[in-house]
This record gives sequence, C-alpha cells and structure tokens, in this order.
Amino acid sequence: MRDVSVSNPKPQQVPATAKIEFRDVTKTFGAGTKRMLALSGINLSIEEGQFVSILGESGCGKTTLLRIAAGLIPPSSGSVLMDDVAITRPGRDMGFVFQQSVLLEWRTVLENILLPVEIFKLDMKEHREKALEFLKMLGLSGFENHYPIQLSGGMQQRVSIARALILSPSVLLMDEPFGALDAITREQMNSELLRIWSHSRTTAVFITHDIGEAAFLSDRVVLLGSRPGCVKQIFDIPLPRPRTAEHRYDNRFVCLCRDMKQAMMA
Amino acid sequence: MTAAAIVPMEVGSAERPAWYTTRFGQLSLTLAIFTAVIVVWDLYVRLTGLSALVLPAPYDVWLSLVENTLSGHLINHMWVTLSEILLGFLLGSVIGIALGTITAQSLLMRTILGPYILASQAMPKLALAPIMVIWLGFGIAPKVVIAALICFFPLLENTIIGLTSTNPYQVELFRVLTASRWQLFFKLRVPNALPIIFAGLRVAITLAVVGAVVGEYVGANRGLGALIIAAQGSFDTPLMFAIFVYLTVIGIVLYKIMELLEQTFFSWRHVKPGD
Repeated sequence: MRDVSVSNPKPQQVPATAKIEFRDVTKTFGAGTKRMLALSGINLSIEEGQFVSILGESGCGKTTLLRIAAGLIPPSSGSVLMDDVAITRPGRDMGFVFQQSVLLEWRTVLENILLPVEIFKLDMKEHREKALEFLKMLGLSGFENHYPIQLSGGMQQRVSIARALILSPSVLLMDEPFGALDAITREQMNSELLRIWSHSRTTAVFITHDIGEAAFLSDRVVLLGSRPGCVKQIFDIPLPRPRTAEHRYDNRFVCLCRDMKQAMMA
Repeated sequence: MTAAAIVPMEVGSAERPAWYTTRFGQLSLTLAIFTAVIVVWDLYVRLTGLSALVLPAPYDVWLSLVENTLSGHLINHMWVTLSEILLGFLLGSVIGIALGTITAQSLLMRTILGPYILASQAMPKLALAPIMVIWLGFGIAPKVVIAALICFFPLLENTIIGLTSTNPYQVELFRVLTASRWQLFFKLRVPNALPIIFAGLRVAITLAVVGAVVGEYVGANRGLGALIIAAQGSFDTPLMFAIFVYLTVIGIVLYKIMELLEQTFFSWRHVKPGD
C-alpha cells in the first residue's frame, strides 16, 4: 500500500537508483505584493539508502522543501518523485521526525511508538516486539510505560525517532530534530541516530543548520542558498562508516566543515 | 467555584519535615480552625445575647440536625433535591457535550451559533425559574430543567475549547500518518479534550446544586430548598442551618466524586517531570 499516485504517465529517464527526485521545484507563498518566492528551481536526486542532509540558514526554505517531499504541501511548480512516482500526499512508506518530539502526552512511550501501527491497523503484537527492540537500541529500555512528561528532551526525541521507524519506511524525513537540544546531547543523538539508521539503511533526508551535524551524519550535504532557496553546492562526505565521535576530529572532517562554512558565508 | 484543581504544594522533604507539613499536622490544623470558628460563633451568640431566630448557637443547630436527621425528615427531602441535582447535571452535561461536539466540527457553525451561545451564557439561568414553574408545575421537572440549564454552558464551552485546542503539530503528525477524520477525532481531539471537559463537569456539579435549590425556592413543597422556605416561614432558624450543613456536604461529596473520577481517568496528568 503506497499513498502516491502517478501524475505523469510518460516514461521516466531517471536513473534507477534515485529514490527521491526533486524536479524544478519552486514554491511561492502569498499573492500579489505579499508574494514570496521560498524555493526556486530545485533539482536534486537522492539515491536509495543514502543519508543526505539539507543545510542552510534559518529561513532559507529547507523545511518547506522537506514538507513538499513529505506530501504535506504541494510545490507551486515542478514535482517531487519517489520511486519515479509523484508525491502528492503523505504515505506509509515515509517516516517523519519533527523539530519537536510531538508525542501525545496521554500515551505512554510504548503507546506513542505504536501510534502508526494503530492508525494503519497493523498487527500490534509483532510491532510491540519491534518497538521494545528500538527502545533497547536507543537506550530507553524500562521506559516503555513512562509518560512523555517524565522524559528529558533528548529521550522524547528518541521516542519520536522510534515512532517514525516503527513501520520500516523506505524514506526517513527529519526536520531539524535535534535543534532544541544542547550541543553535548545533540552529538550523542547524532551517534545514536546513525546506530539505529545503520540497521535499516533507509534513505534519510535530514534538515539542519548545523554544519558539524550535517557532515557527521551524511553521505552528501546539500547546501541551500537563501531568498529564494536554491541548491548552492553539494558536498560529498567520504568518511567511512560506521562513524564514531572520533571522526569529528579527523582532518578531512574538519576541512569539510571549513569548506562548507565558507560556502555558506559566500 | 473554580475550575482549576488545587495543586498541593510540594514541600521540601529534605531533613526532618516541620510538624505542620506532615499529614497529621495538616489535619490537626484544619480541625483546629473548625473548632475556632465554632467557639467564636458560640461566644458571639452568648455574649451578644442574639436571638436564636437571627443566629442560633452551634449546639442548637446540632440538636436540630440530629433530631431532623433521625426523624428522617431531612433525609427524605435530601433525596428529592439530590435526584434533581443528578438528573439536571446528567441532562445538562449530555446536551452540553453533544452540542459542543457538533459546534466544534466547523468554524462556520461556531460563527453562526456564536451569538446564541454567548446569549445563553449571559442570560442568568436562575431568572428563568419562575417561568419554569409556570410551564412545568411544582414537581421535580422545573428544578431538573433549571439545574440542566445551568450545567449546560460550562460543558458546551469546555467541549468546544477542548476539541478545538489541539496542538497543530500533533494534527500535522496525524496528517503524516494519513489518519482518517475519525482517527483524528477519536485518537487526538477527544483525548485532548477529555481533561478540559472534565474540568467543566466539576464546575457543573456544584452549579447543579445551586440550580436545584433555587428552583425549589421558587415553587416546591419537597426538597431541601422548599424546606428552607418552610423553616423561614416557621422561624425555625436552627433547621435552616441544619439544611445548610446538608447542602454543603452534598456539594463536597459530589465534587470529591468528580475529582476521584478525574484522577482515575487521567492518571497521566498526575505524574511529575522526573518521576
């Protein structure tokens, strides 16, 4: 079951490896004199199994780009394809992590993780095992019956990652999930995210304004320019996986971060 | 009558707690205040030589309370009033929640019905009591209707607020999960609204007592309100005070029942950060 529909019946010339493809995507908000061009001519191909970060200053339209990819808002022109099919609305094949954890405060940790299973009316017992497995992987064993208010911000965001992954989506979209966390917790969360991601190797799109975070997590970093948002430069991150905190002090890592910073400032 | 729950103050539990912060200490202080009020009341009556018609001594009230309870007089009238309270509360709450749920469904509905909702709130419901007696007679019906009218508004309002005050990010989450309209309603809007609706129920149950008693003032021969009017006619002030005790106890018991139900249903609201 996939909630995407074919809008373009023409044969595609996209390479088979492209999982998500942005084609000439523009987005304008408002009308008349208040018309604002948020994204202009975005062309971007994200390969299957890649971890791609979209890096840019606040207000550059990176969240808008992700929301279009999720099918939450339509592009003004152009299209976003997933497996060569235009994305017009959200689907089960997609996990989404918000800036905040967005947990339901009346549900326990386990009930929150299993919410997607409930919505899609899938087998509870089977996914329960999986949810407990995730909790173990994320260092949250024993917290399954706690309520969100009892958890720290970092723990809450880990629960929301487990919720996004519970249905094994082929694409994981993350909108600055660690933006609200302190630097130390954020680095820990980066490592944990990579650990849980390495089990599924799902295609991941990660929005951030933090250069170090983008470089540490990604295979590729897409730098967005501002007003209107456009692809400024793409960086390949050739660091080997699995990555550990040590990589942050690697010469190549430091040089990449410097290059990205210069490109961002340019 | 406040909608907010009284949150017990967290007292620093380090070292040895002061005696007045222990459960026993607090209970003793509460009882001490009660005793002080009774003593001052009694002294005032004795020293001023006030007529029992104006203010009976505490002991006279106690005698009247015991005598009229044992004779079954007060109990019989209490059942009448209590059934008016509960029926009115039930009727008003059900209609309030139902209409609130319907109104919450669309902004258009809220806009169109808005002035009427406001008018129904601004109108003092107790002012309708005389016409209710004309329409519905001297039996239990007009009191039930007045109690229902007075319970209706807090539930209408709280249901609308509860169902429409959903966190927009949580709504977005349900969109991402392709939830149906029903799922959005029952898995997000309703659980989000329930604590707010419950706060409305807690307000309504105490208002229902007022509605029933005032209804009885206007025209009744049974019930605690009718008994107060009768006691006034026969200058039996101690009996009036005995009835006040009954009404207060009824109010407290009903409120506590609601509080208990709330704590049972919404245990998640009572966990503290860091537990």
